[in-house]
Amino acid sequence: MINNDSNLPTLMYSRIVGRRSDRLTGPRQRSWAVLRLPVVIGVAFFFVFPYLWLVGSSFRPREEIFRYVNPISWRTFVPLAPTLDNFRHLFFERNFGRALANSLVIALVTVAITLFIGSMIAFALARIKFPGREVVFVLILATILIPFETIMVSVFLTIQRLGLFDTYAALFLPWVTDAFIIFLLRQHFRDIPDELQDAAIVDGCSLFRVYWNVMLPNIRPALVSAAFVKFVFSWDAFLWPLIVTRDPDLTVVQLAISRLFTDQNVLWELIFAGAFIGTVPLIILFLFLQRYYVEGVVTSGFN
Amino acid sequence: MRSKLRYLFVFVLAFSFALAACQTADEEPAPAEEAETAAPVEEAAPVEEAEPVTLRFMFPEGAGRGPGFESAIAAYQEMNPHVTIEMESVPFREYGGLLPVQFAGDSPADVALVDSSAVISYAYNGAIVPLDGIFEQSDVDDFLPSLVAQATYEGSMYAGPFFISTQGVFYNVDMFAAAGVEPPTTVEDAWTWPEFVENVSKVAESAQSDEGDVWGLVFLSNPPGSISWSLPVIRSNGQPGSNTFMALSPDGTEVSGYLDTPEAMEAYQFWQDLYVEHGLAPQGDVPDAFGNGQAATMISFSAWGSVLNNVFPDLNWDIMPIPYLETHVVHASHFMPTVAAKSDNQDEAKAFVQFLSSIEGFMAYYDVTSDMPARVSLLNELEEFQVRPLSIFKDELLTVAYAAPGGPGGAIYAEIVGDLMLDIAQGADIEAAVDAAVTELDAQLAQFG
Amino acid sequence: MDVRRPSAHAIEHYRSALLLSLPALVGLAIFWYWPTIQAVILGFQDYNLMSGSQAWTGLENYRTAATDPLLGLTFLNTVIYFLMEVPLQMALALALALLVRRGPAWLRTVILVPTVTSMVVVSVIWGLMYHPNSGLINSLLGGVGVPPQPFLTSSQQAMPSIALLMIWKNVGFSMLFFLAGLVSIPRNYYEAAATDGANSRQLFRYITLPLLRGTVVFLLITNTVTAFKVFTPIFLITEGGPINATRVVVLYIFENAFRFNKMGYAAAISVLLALFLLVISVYSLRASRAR
Repeated sequence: MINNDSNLPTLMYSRIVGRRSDRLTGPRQRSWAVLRLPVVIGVAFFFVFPYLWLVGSSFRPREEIFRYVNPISWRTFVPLAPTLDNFRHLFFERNFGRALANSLVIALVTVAITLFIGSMIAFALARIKFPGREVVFVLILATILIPFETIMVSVFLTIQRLGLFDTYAALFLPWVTDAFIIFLLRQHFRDIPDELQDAAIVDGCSLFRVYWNVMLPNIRPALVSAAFVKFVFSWDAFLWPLIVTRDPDLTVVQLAISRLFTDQNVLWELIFAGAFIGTVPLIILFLFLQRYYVEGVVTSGFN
Repeated sequence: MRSKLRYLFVFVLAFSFALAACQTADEEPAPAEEAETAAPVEEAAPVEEAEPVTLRFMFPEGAGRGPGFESAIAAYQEMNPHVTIEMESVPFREYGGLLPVQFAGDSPADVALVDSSAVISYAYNGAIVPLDGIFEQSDVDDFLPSLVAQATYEGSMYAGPFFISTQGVFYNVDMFAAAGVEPPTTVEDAWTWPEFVENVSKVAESAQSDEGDVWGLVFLSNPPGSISWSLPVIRSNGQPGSNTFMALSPDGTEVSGYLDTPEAMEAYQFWQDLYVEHGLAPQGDVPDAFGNGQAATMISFSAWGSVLNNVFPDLNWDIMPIPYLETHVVHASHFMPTVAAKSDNQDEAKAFVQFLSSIEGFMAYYDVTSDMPARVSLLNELEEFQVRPLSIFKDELLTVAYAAPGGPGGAIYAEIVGDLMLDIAQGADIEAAVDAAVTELDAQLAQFG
Repeated sequence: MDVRRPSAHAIEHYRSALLLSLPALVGLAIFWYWPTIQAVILGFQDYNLMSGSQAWTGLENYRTAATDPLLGLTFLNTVIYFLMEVPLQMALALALALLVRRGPAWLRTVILVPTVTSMVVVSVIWGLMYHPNSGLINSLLGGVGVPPQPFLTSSQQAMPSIALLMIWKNVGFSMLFFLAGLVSIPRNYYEAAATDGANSRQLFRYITLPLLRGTVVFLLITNTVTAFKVFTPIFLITEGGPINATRVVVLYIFENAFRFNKMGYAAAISVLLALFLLVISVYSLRASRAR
């Protein structure tokens, strides 16, 4: 990311400034344009700095991990004797690949079901008038008010009594009804102009078709945000998998990482490597979804 | 593009339902049901006629613990072919949090390791059953007294002593040599804390370099949050049997008059001075400081030496006994196997615990994974504990090791006192902090009266 | 639609609404309402989690709560955390969303990196950065002549330190939602206003903010609820210390449920917390509609 090309700042600068719309060119805009690059770099540094430390550490041998933390120097970030042993150990001796695959499948399944059933009810709450819908909405919202720690034991008992203990289903079923997501999608459905729905109904569309063909495409950025957040949430889940699974074949990434804290020794080099691998799929996912944030895509439907 | 995204969505959805369906189908036979009708099995029972039984055995993950228990289980299954034991190895850091939840569930593991400080609390709450009749008096006499004390509630033992862990001071031999400081080599010659501070300050000072600070003393985490590390300092300022030394009323319901005696207050001040006045120990964590040569000494547990040898093979270290103020005291504790009250196979589970606590049981484990045994006879017999450095731990165990204060409220006690010691190390007003902790703790412990 | 008897058309609507809502409602009933009802019942009991024994104690747990000084303290700490975390996080998220909307694409990913990094690792790295004796932040402060600060080890600074860490970790999510709201604003609104001579501040004030209202309400409510339920970072970093300065409500609930074995009392506190949040949420929703 950092190289010796002295032209790089200027190149980046012109690219960023060039993207600004021409019509905004008052004195305020010009001073902002000058400030913009330092702000962008400052912001980027603030957010990425601890991560660079994490990435560097995942290529270090064990004895090097904390040796150069203090005083801070380039050696704090750059491994002196870089090695792939940590990754090798994770994949070949700790079956980390299985954990990654499990987490991936569970997260995809969770996201798909959550968005499907969440967007259906959100659509009903936002766009269909029926008696008591405000009450239903508040009741749904109320589920996010109770701390999970309070109902955890009870949900655990439910899972055991449904015969789902130590199964894949136990890992995602309780999480696919998500009031946060329902709330988010409802807010976005509400913002869609009424004419769109009315026109579709006049055309003879059933409500389900209105939902599926007209409404869903129009809240795509919200769906993408929801998908990303839900994916991250599922990926980070750790307390719940710990409670409902024992089978090593059902291990998820965060559980596999937490196994690296043993009572004798904290295997920091593997924790950093595991945490690094654990972020890669999420970053790739986001890069893939990022294009849905480009302006214009969304409004083209009814402009 | 729009429709592609939706197809993906539908595909994943369909896939997930299929997955859920297969899973439930797979898992149909619940393991516990097969064994429901098993008769209580005596050791002598003819093997052929016994109904097959499956026991679930849960323990916190630890270096070598899996292979060690595998070996012990293999030995047990060979003698009892009708018993199958499934291991459930849980991440160590989460183990204490998971235990109450799994005991609250419908089918906890039949046998679970429980930390010695929590055994009485689980016994009091009815989560585990007494193990009456599975130990001979000769066994009980052979177990380390500190473990027997932590396993005994209302006259019954609720856990089988298996292994043991205690503490020592690991020190950097090169740094000590460079500073010309001679550490004590036997438990009788152990330094007092003032001697320790004086000598180690000298060592840390002579070891300072441009490469960063060198601390005099670090713990496994800094400042230590667990009373295993911090409380012995306070207890050691009382005479044996005094309130300061006991640190909790004998019935386990009161700490005022125990944690706030003049001797205790003096010791809290000493503990704070270690951090603030002398600056000997860091107020925030410095991971790997000892291994990296950034600390002259480290107080850690008995198995730490093997970790150091693995991770920092170049480090030249040795062990000296834990220092003290007036009375020499170290804490000794470890996980112990217990039998769940909700187990459907309590007799088989008890028989397995009996085996683990026997000499053969420990030796089957020890063949694969070195750990200190909970039996005095084995401590005196096994080669590696007769020679330094490990002999220091053995001598501490046999002469100055005590159980941490406990009883039914042991977990609450450990939590609140652990926080108190942490706050003091970080510079809290001692008088006010002790007062608040004693008030909160007395209110909490009253329920066990 | 002010007819007394619903028309066939309306009934058709109700039927669709029910069908569309059913899957979510079934899931909520099994995994949220049923456990929540049980928690409410537990609030009136003395319940031993491990032996399963339960005894009715009426309002005893609520009476205890009314006079428990620690509970008051934990509520106060939670409110302090909320005040430090939520307003700053939302303002920063909006600023970042405006910045990255036209900024380089990689910046979005960079801001999301903390949200995807495991909390355990984050707490270790920030613990080292906040180190009172040798941390990075103190080195930086030393560079500009500020004496070393205690951060997490001081009862005054621990909560702001955790709030800052959590803003850093979570602001990416909020930014993402603002971004989703921003890109949904039709571009021609801006173009029309700009033709009428509006400057950028007016565009923001009269177009961007009003059209983001749904997003703002959503984020305000969810961030508030999340802040009041904060647990994991505090559990991992300070466990409520130093001297109870970061002991928040959910940590206290957790301690009562799983350490002090007072599940009934833990449930009663949860009910109080939920009622408190319910009032805030309904009030915010009402306020947002009234405007």
